[in-house]
Parts: sequence; structure tokens; C-alpha cells
Amino acid sequence: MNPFFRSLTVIVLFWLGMSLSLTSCGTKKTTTPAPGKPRKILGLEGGAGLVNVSKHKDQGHSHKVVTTWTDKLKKFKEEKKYDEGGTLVVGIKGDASTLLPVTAVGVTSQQVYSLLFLTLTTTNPDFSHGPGLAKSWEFSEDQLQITFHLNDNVFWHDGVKTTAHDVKFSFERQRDPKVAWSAIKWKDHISKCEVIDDFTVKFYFTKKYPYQLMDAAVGAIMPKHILGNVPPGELKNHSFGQNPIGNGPFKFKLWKRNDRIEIVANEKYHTGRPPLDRIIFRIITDEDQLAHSLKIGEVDFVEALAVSKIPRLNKESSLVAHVVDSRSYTYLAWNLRNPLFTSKKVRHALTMSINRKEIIDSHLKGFGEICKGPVSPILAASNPNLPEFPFDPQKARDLFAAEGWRDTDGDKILDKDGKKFSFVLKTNKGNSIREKIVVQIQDMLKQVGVEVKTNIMDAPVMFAQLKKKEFEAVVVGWSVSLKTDMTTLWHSKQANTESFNFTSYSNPDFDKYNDTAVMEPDALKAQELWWKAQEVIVQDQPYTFLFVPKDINWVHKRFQNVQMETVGWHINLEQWWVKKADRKY
Amino acid sequence: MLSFILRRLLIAIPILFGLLTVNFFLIRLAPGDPADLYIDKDMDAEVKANIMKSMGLDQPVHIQYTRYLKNVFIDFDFGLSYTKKAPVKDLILEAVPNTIQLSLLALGIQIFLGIMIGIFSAAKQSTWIDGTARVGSLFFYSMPSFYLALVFIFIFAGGVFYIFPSSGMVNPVTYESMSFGEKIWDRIVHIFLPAITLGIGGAAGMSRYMRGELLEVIRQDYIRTARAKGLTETAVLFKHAVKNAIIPIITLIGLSLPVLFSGSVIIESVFAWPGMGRLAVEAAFQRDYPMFLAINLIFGTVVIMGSLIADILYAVADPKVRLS
Amino acid sequence: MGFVEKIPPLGHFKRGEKGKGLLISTLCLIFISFMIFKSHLMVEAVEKTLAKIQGEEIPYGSTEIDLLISTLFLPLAALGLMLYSFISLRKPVANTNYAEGPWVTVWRKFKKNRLAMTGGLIILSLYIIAILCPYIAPHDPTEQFDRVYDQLLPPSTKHLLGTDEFSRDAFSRIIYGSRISLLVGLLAVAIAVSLGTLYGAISGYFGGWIDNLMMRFVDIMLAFPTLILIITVIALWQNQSIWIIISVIGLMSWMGVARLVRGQFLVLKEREYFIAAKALGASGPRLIFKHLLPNAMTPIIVSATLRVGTTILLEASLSFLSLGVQPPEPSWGNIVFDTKGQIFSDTLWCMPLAAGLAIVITVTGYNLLGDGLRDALDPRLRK
Repeated sequence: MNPFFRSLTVIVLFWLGMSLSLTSCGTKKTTTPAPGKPRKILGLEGGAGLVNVSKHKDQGHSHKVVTTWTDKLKKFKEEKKYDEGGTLVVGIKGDASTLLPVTAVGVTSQQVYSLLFLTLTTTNPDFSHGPGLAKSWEFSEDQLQITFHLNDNVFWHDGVKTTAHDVKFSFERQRDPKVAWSAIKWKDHISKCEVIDDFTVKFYFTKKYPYQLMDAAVGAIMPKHILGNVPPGELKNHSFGQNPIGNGPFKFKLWKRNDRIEIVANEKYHTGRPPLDRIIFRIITDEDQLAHSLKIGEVDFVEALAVSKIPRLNKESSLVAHVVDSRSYTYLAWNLRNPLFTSKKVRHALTMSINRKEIIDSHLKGFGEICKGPVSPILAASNPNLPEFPFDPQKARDLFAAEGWRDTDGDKILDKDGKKFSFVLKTNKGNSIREKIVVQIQDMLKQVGVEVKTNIMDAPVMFAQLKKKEFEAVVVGWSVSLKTDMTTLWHSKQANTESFNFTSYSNPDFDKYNDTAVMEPDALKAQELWWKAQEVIVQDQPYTFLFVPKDINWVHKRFQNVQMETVGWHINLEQWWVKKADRKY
Repeated sequence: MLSFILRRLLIAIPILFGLLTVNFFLIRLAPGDPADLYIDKDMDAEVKANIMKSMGLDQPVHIQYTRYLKNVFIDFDFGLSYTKKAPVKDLILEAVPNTIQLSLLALGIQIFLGIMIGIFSAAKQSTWIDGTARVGSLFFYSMPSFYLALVFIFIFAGGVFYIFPSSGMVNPVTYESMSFGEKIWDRIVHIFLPAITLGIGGAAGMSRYMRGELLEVIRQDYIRTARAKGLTETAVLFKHAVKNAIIPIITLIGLSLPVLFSGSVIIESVFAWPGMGRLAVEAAFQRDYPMFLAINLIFGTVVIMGSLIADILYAVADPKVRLS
Repeated sequence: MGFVEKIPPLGHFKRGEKGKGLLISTLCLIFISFMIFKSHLMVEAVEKTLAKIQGEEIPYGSTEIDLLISTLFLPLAALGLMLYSFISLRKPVANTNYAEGPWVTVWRKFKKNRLAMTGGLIILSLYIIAILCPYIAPHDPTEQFDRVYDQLLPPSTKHLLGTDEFSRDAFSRIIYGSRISLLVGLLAVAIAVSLGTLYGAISGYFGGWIDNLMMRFVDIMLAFPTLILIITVIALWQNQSIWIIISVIGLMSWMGVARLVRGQFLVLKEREYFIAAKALGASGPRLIFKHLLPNAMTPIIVSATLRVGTTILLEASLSFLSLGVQPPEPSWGNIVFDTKGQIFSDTLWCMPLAAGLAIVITVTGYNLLGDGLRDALDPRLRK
């Protein structure tokens, strides 16, 4: 029996220097204005149209085929009340690395190849599984096997049919360490993949657990007839990555490095060609330049543009803003090995000294919510009743004083036993919001007598240092995935190794709840355990959880039927269309 | 002449070799590991080891070094870019023409504007034209290129007027379907702002030199003679003075090539121009060692070639100079 | 001599030294008016310092030291200027009958060059601004006002250039930014020039294979694309303290000076006076520092001045690539970078423009000064 299961986890999408910035969230603007000052927070009022996408919450993980979303797509294509043609120009901040799914790194590559290649299942807006390359699937009696029935009318862009052999081939490459697929762990519990006939394939599992379907389906299917003879170790050097042949709704056309990638409609797509003729990804690294290009119409769509660009874009009536719950949260991690931060009370005081509401109102323009705990509120496992540490500098000062931190030498900085309360706060370059809030936190902590020095570093170096615990405090974010468990970030077994438990967090209570929850197949019981685990973490405050942003995606208004969801902005890109009269190019 | 060029080229080899060596060890001394770029928190040690191995980073440094030198100088292979997962040679060959295009046009603008303003300024010495030209050229000479780029975008690319596109090399949407003439025009429109931004600083410097040289020449006896012959002032200026004053300026042309190339580092970022400069910045930020070394080698070559060209041009222009 | 001749500005005017009189009196007036209109700052600085000396427990950090330095500077500078003007009036009007020293000649030539004087004045006023930052800037450059409501305010009387995204006063930031630019320019060039001079001196003095070897190394260094190398060093080592930036820039730009000095030395070594000194058995260091270096000084000074300008540009470019000084410290480059997005806004476009203009003016100042010095010091160098 595989009931609904709820849990949170996190996967790191290394937000390289080029990656999309975490933007903002929030909706309620409830700060009390300072006396005598007009209450004015720049938001999405006036000019630009605003579509606030309805909020889809995690409904737990279903192992059934959920086809409501697919039916909608089908109906759209059958009714055919749209014009074909038109071009979408997408502005992106960084170039792709390669378009071979199994070796690609970074957000851009993933965005592009997910339009070129199909996966076994698709993710619906409510996070459930819909048909993809597989039209249906079923579990065996003992729940240890999944059989996928593939669509028999899917062709690779070079005309060859996609079959179960391709699925088996992709699975073998994905779990080959020589290929070094970044998500290799997802296939850990799959023992083998068997081709039953050309359009039926079976996955064997070593154990029963909630994420079997997700694990089997993750990863794009690659063409065996092209890559079959390439040794696994050579895959990443293969020119296929520069000139991919997929089976998705769009075909690769051309790629000018650091300039643009062009993909065109796949006329032979098994559910009918998408309305748009072409999608062009334009690489514009500078965010201001990107916003400017959007404004003057050189670019039609930008995902998760920093909110500080809103006042400028807001006046453009040709643009529509889509506000989407982001799959990420931003936090400030304290290194618990540092004597400054070993005391729980001190960490509470630090959290209380940081005015998170103000961060959201100023740099996110209200588009975000205070993050309360380690589980993103979009997920069902998030505990709504976590203890809060509201902004209260006076109480923070008292707490510091109770812990022995006082300003005895009159330099406006707290000290204890002759040691100043001073530390270096790091963050990664290329994320304008984080670069800004670091400076803001620096100023907020100065008010309570804590000296902060900032250091804005390159992401790869910073993460290497974090894993070696070579830091004092850091502002970064996690992108939330729909799978796995809290072990990687919080478990005590990782506390003393080079791991993503940067803070060296270790609490036996948490370990206990976490370890039981991971193995618990019953949804309600698991949720209870996850809630308790979160409470433990929040009480300990190894992180000061800062905010959960909302992404603001801007798109030109000539595009019809645009629907953006937390699971991805391009979820229905194959249905966007442009009225003939509105067509620009 | 030929033996001079050959000798200079021979000297260039050890210099490039030294440059490569210094760079190679410089980046390996730096903290941070390029493999960390790819490593996900769920990744095993085995996978990481595989990545390191595929990058050749598991070997001791001296072996990496000799292997690299062998690859570069014997096989002419710069390895595989860590971040772009494609041969560095291909990536650079794709980017170099774009930067050369930009730099050459900027050089043209620089030479033309610089010499013209210089001549004008000298011809109208001590008038308001001269004054404006001198102050103006000093002003542009003292201006950071990124600032000029911003101002140009502000004025010409959508801020005040929308005459030029603000970024890119071609119109990404319609370029492929354009006729040949339209393609050329599209490229001109796109290259105009970056090229002028890149060239204007050099033009300002050059006009200062040109003016100085010209004033020096005008004082010479043969100019006085020419005037005494009854030639018009324009004839004196262009037939006699400019011809002589331009010789030292020619040296500048070779020397400003490397300046333009490094100037592209900033200009290309601002105008989203897909050239070497952007590759260089990305490679440095992302620790893409093979890419970075190759780019440095190319920039080094440009510097050396620049000074060689300067010498040759000087010899060609001034018959008094003998290359030895 | 009448009474009028002895009163500073009037006396100068009477003697025909209009520029000098004007400059001295304006500066004095500015200093004194600062002392009067900002007297509360002076009082504050003195009170705090006295209290601190007496052992009271009051906050005393870098802001206070900063303020104290400017506070001490004001009256001292005003007093010094006055004294100087009185003394200079005591001396008889410059007499052309006796031979003037070399520096007097240089100064006389320099004074005649109006552009050079403008450059000199610009640089002088910039340094005064940098010292008097606490008196000139209306706000603390890192102070964040109400972070929600004072964000991106348009220019007003309270905030001359408006506020930035951190609700900080842009005008004050630009004023304080002068410190970073001037400091980087000066120190980096000092490093480059001393290193280059030493290197060039050794190479030029010994000649032969040592010279050959040392110059090959310079060739290698010159083949490095400087900007990219600096970007690499700073990006790879991840240390962006201002001292690292200064040293890196300094260590990467000595080659030009080294070549210059070596060239000068090679020429000077052929001169009779040098051959005579060598024949007399003067020691190596003595030959270098007593006989060669002073005579090679002119081009060094000129190139150093011009180099300050380019170094300031380099620092600005680094800041623009966000490789410069770390926030919240203001530098002109990072102000332009931080606010460049505002260039398209209706109200705040002047913010990045003003910061950039500050760079342009400073560099122009140094270039004018360098040109003027060259003309004054050695007309042969004119090219």
C-alpha cells in the first residue's frame, strides 16, 4: 500500500554566479509605518497587468496517474482555438553548459533541455505525476516493481521511434558513476531496469518506500541509437551536448555561445505541434540590462527578476507580471563550532535583532513571507505552528547581557572576556538580493552592538568553504525539491564531516524524529514526526530563517494562455500562443 | 626585415611559455576547487573522484603541468572547458572573431577620430576649437569605459532615444531570415555603440599625441620653407606636416590593440557581446582553469603581436629606422 | 611698505600675485566657515576626546577618530595658511636679478600653464574634501535610514542626490568615496613606482646579462593582460580588503616604470660626470642613489602622476565588476555599479551619473597635473 506521503527535502541547486536570483515573496503589507511618514511600499500597482497565480499546495505524493492537467492540455489541442506561429524571446542570465541532460549543470541548461527531452512522467501543478513518455504505469503486488507503458508514437527528432530500449539505456547511464550524473543518488534503490517489449519497461526496487515512482521517473530519456556506442566516461565530451536530438515538443536549432539558443516547434510531436514557432533564449548576464531589454521589448520573458526592478517595469503596460511561490528559502547559517554562536540564547538574540519583515518590505517590496522553519510552506510537511522569534532588539540586548555580552570598553561593540562580538558574514556573488540583505543585516546587528564584516564571494569557493566549516556566518538559500529527507542538512552523522550540514548541527531529538519519519510509510504519522523535527530545529536556531520569496515572472502581454506554477514557469509552454494580429515576429 | 620578424617571433615563444607557467601555478595556488562547482550535496565521494579524474586534477601538479604543456605546444589542444563541457579551442574560436570585429572597428574609430581631432586642434592652435578639443579629449580619456557605456545606453538605447539596440551582436529573432544586405546592416547597428565606447578613449589619447606631434613638426624649418613657397595653409598641413607627424602615431596603433582587447572585458559584459572578454571574466569567476589559461595565452599573444606590429609599422613608415 | 601691503589678500593683490591671494583667502574662508557653521561637530569631537582621555567609558571608534582628524586639520590648516601668507608678504617681491633655483623655475613654468594649475587645484580640493569628509557630507555614508520608506528617495534638500536602495544618502557616499579612490591611486602608484625604480635601477646600473635577464622578466610581465590578471588574483583568492587590492594593482603595474628608469640609467651611464664619479671610486649604491637616480627623477615624477589617473580608473573598473572594496564601504566604482539600474528611472538617474563624473573629474585632474608637470619639468619630454 502506498499512501500519500509528505515530507520535505531539499536539493541544492548550486546557484552559481549566473543563477537566478532568489526574489521575493510576501503579500500582506502590514508593517506599521513610522509616525508621520506616508505608507508606501512599491508593489505591483498601476500600469502592468498582474496575474497572481493560484497557489497550488503540495498534495502529497500520489503513485497514481493524475490526468486532470493532461486532459486540459489535450482539450486545448483538440479544440484548436489558437493561432500557430510566433516567437518567444526568453532572457536568461547565464549560458547553458551542455544540453545533454545527464551531464548538464546549472539552471539554464535544465530549462532548455527539459523542452527538448521527455521524461517518463510529468509533474502536474499540484506536484502529482501525470503522463509523459509513459502513458500509464502500475505497481506490482509487493510494491517492489513498477511497470511503465510508453506512448508508441513518440519519435526522436531525427525520425527514429523512442522505445523501452532508450529508457533502459538512459537508466544505465544515469547510474553509472563514470558519467557522474549529479542526481545519481535518486537511482540508489533501483536494482535493475528490464525491457518487457518495445513499449513496456519495468523497474525493480530493493525496498519499499514512498518515493519509488519519483525515483524511477526522474531524469530525461536519451536516444540509444545515437549515444549507445559512446563509452560512459566520454559522454560529457560528446558533441551531442552541443547539438542535441531529443523527443520533446521543441527541436534544437542553433546555439551561439554566450549569445543565444534557438529551439523550434517539433512538427511531429506526439500530441501535436506546439503553437509557438520558436523560442529563443537570449543570454544577458547583467540584471539591469536584462530588465532594460524587457522594458524596451528586446526580450519577452524573464523569470524571477529581482524585485528592485519593479518600479521601472511597473509602468510598462505591455508586460504582465506573474507572481509564483518560489521553491526556495533564504537563511542565515551560524557556524555552531564558533564560540560566538555555541549558545542557543545568543542565536535567539541574533534572530530577534534581525528585522525580517523589514528585509521583505524593503528589498523584496513585500513579495515574500518570513521563513519560520526548515520546510518550505509550499510543502504539506511544513509545520504552521512553529515558535517565532519576532524582531525585538531590546529583548535581544537583554539576552546578550544575560549571556555575558556587554559593551565594557565603550566602542559600541559587545564584548565578553576581552573578546569582541565580531564576525564575517559571507554570501555568494551574483545574487543581488543576498548581496543587499547582507549589508542590511550588517546594519541591523550594529544597532545591538554586534560587528559584522561582509564578504561577498564566488559561489563555488564559498560552498567549498562552507562544507569544510570554514566560515562564521553565511547568507544563502536552498531550493526545495519534492523528495528526500532532512538528513543531509541536519543529521548529526554529518556534523563532523565535510558535508552540507554546514553549521555542524547535532541534536539527538532531531535525529530520532528524522530517522523514524524517513522510514514511516503512513502519511499522518510521518507528518507528525516531521512537525516535531522542525520544532526541534527552530528551537535551536542553527539558522536564522530569513524569508520565503515569491518569484515575479514578467511576460509580454501578447502571449495567450500563459500559466506559471511553482513547479516551473514552462509547465504549459507548449500551449502558449500569440494572436495573429499581435504577432511581433 | 624578415629576419627581424622571425627573431621577434622566436623571442615570443619563451615569453609565452613563461606566461603560461606563471599562470598555471598561480591558479593552482589559489584556494577553491573547480570540482566543487559540480558537486551536489547528494553526490558520493566516488562520483567526485571521477569528476576530479576526468579533469586530470587527481595527478600531482608537476605531472598536470607537463601534460598541459605537451597538449598545448605539441597537440595544440587546450583541453575541455570545465563549465561549458566543450573543447576550449572551439569555444575560443567562436568568441575570437567577435572580439576581433569589435576591436578592429574600435581601432578604426580610434585612428580616424584621433587623427582628425588632433589635426584640427593643431591647425587651430590656441583658438576655442583647440581648447574645446583638448579639454574634450582629456575628458573622454579620463572616463572609465563602463561609465561611458552606461551613458550611451542611457542616451541612445532606450533611455532617452531608442536608436540602437542595447545588447547583443545581431537581432536574435529575425537575423536568420534576413537577406545579406539586411544582415550586414543589422550587424552594423549592433556593433556601433560597443565599438564607439571602446574606441573613444583611445581616440582621445591619440588626438592628444597627434596634436603634440603636429605642433612640433609645424615648428620645423621645412614647414617654414613650404609656407614661404606660397603653399596654402591646408596644403602645408596635409602635404607636409601631417605626413611627418603621423609616423610616431603609427606606433600607437600596434600598442593600442592589446589595450582594446582588455577593454573588451568590460564593454562586452555591459553590452552582452559574446566575445573573449566575457569568456575571460566567466572563466576567472568559475575557476575554469583550461579556459582561463588559454585566454591568457591569447591575450599575451595579442600583447606581443601588438608591439611587433608597432615596430614593423614604424619601420615601414619611417625609412630612417633600420630594424636590427 | 604701507600697512595694506602687509594684510594677506590685499597685499598679494597689490603685489600682483592675484592667484595666490585668491587661493589662500578662499581656502581660509572655507576652513573658517566650516569651523563656524559646523562648530557643533568640533565641539563634539573635542568633548568626546577629552572625556576619553579622562578615562570615561564612552563609545570611541573609527568614526570618532575620523572626526578628530578633520577637526584638528581645520584650525591647523587655517592657521598655517594665514601664517604662510603673512610670511610670504614679508619677503620682498621676487627679484629676477639673482639666479633662481631649479624648483623655482619649474614652479614658475607650471604656474603659467593654466590647465595644469586647474588640474592641481582639482587634486588639491579633492584631498581637502577627502580629509574633511565628516564636515562636508551631510550624513554617515553607511547609515541606513528607514529601510522601507526612505528607499530610493528622489533628490531633495535633505538628500541632495536622493537615497540608494539601502536608504543611504547618495551624496554623502560620493563624498566619502573620494577617500578610497585617492588612497588606492596614491598607494598603488607608490608601490609600483618604488618597485619599478628599484628594479630598473638595478637592471640599468649593472647592465650586461643581468640587465638582459631582468628585462626578459619584464617582457613576460608586460605580456600579461593586466586587467585579467588582477581579476584573477582577486577572484581566486577571494580577499577583497582594500590593502590587497592596492598591493595587487601596485605589483602588477611597475614594469613601465622599470623600463623607463633603466632607459634613463643607460643614457646617464654614458655621461662624463658619471664616468668621472666612477673613476673616483664611488660605491655602487652611492652611484645609483647620488648620481643616477636624482637625474632620472623627472620622467619618474611625470609618469607617476599620470599613472595615478589610470590606477583610479582601474580601481573603478574592478569595483564595477564587483571585485573592488567590500560593502558597505563606498567607492565611486561600486556606487556606479550599485546604482547603475537607476539610470533609467525618472528621478534617480543622476546618482550613477554623479559618481561616474567624480571619477572623470579626478582622473582629468591628475592627467592635467601630469601634463603640466611634464611641460614644466622637461620640455623635451613633450610628446
